[in-house]
Amino acid sequence: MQHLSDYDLVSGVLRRDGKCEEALYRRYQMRMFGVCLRYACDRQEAEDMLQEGFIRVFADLRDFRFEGSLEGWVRRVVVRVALRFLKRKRAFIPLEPHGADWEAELPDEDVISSLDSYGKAMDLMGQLPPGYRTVLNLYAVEGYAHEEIAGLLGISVGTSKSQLFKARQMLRGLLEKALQKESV
Amino acid sequence: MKQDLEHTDPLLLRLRQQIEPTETDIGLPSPSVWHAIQAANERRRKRRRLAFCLLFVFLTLGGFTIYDLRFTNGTSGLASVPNAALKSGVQLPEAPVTLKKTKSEIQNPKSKTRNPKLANFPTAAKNPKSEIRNPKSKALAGGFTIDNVRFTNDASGLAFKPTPDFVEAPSAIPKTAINPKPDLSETATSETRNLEPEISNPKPETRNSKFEVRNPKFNIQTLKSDIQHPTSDIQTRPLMVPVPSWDMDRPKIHKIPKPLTFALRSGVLWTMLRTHGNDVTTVSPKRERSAWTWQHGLAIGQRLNKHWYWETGLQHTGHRLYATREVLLTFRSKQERFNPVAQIYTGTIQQDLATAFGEVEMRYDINRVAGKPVRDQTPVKASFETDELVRYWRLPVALGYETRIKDFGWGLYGGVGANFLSGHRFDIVNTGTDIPAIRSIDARMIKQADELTKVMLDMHLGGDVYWWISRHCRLNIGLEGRQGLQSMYGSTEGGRTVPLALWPHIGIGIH
Repeated sequence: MQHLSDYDLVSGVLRRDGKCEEALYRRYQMRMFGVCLRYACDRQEAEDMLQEGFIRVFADLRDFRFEGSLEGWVRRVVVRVALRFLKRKRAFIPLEPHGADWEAELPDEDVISSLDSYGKAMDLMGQLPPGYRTVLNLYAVEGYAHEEIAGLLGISVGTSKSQLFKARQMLRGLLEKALQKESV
Repeated sequence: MKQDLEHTDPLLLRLRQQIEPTETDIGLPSPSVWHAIQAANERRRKRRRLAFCLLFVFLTLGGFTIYDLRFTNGTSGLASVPNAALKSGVQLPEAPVTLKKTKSEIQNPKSKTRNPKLANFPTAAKNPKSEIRNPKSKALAGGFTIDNVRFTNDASGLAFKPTPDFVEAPSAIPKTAINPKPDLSETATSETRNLEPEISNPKPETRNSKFEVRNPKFNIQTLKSDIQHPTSDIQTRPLMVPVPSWDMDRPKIHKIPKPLTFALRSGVLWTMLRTHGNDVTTVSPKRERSAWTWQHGLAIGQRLNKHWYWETGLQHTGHRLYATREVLLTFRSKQERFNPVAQIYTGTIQQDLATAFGEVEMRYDINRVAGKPVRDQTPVKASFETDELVRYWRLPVALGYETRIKDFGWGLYGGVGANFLSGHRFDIVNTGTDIPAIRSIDARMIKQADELTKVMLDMHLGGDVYWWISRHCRLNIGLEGRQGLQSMYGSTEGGRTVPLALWPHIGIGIH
């Protein structure tokens, strides 16, 4: 089942072939779990997101038109489910209703290079408030534009920019603090 | 510009680089996620199947209703008479006969029709003894082949009325009789005024289209005097003999069809689940309450006579049970793995949990706080608040008696039902443990209780009070008692759970 192409996999799932369903899940479970972990507070919540996300994937798979990669489509579905999950939990609360001016302030090379491991990156992300973390995830990792983020989260473009700006500032502060701690 | 700057921000780029390639190094999600997804997929398919089944049932019922209304109301065998003067009985064929065609055929020199006045009337009877003159007419063979028509004296004193229940199927009639446009013009040769009871020609032959009158209950001469229609009308509008319509292959049409009834009922049952000991469970349930059962469904029935009826239908039943249960788990520290994000150790155990509906295979993720060790093989007493739901499709068959006093009525009914298992859901609402170092226990169902009986029989006895809100529609409220003849839980002798239910319900019926 592992060697199946995306087309065969999708066709099998649409034929309600249980093996194809399992193969689809096994192929993307780890990557999607990583996506969910970035939005969730803990592993349990990430598993719930993953479960809901794949249920939605199987329900909506007939809408997949093979216009892009299957992984990208699954990822978008899972991200949307994760966002809906956060909204339902009221975890995403925009902190600033209006946009803030973007300052092209680049951090020092030392600060940037101190972000050198996955554990550290996830740890820093986990320390961000849910609103900051969500926008940072969508923008920096998923590659969405502010207009798309505003549409996904039901906020204004200015709020999205503001959240990203503050998230970035907070991330930089956390990195600097960690760097100082290491140097001491 | 800002957008470009943001996307090229080295800090965000670095963050992306660190996160993306390592997404696959975070470990696999719990296997219970896949089981839950499988269960959800199965539920979705069942819902889809249910929707198709309901659609099929409604279409079948709708089709049956239309068929019943159209063909068993006692008039479908004969078409109605367009002439008001003849409204009491003698009827015209349903198939239209065009005037033009009739005229053209009358004008045919070969035609032997003598009375040009009759040309406009496709199936008039001038003289019952007269022969049908057009030997070329093939359609006539099917058009004039009623061999038995009984005339009765109508209460209104009008003319002849053939009673449909005596119209027998002309078995010898060929299929050509169903010709929608029978060319009968040249064969119409008798008039109303000459219609005598001696008219008789039972032979289904073209040239001998005569009518036999069996058991005349009246004197035709006295009947003639009772006809109150203008004579001229009757003279100028020749009678049409009754001709069966296209459903003539029906063996016999009942005069009084047995009416069908439809009902929609919904209600909540209070169910007592009688549980038997702990002989089949590994750990006894701490507290088990009575189950609530809801039920709704459709019913279709048929009236046998004024008071008696039988009824069947399709009902969807759910038995829901909230309970608090305890289970003893054995802590295994060697199987624990560390979660750096949540800063907890997680150990996984698979063990069955005894429920009212059978043994459920469960997976428990025991989350221990870092820095608070628990010794290996320590028994952990875990308590769970569970929410269980077992669903059945039920096919009941009941015989009932009812009586009506003006707009109100009451009835009693009893019967048996077959329950078909359609699903089992098991949720853990809350968990608790006696060891403080354990922060939480995540429990998921891996496999549902397979000891649940797939088919279960029960019997019911109930009563209803009716209120007729219109001629054909009534509301009812009632109480039904139900006793399971068979246990829901199949692996024990005598039954672990035997539902005894009282079903207060309301419904609406069409009669």
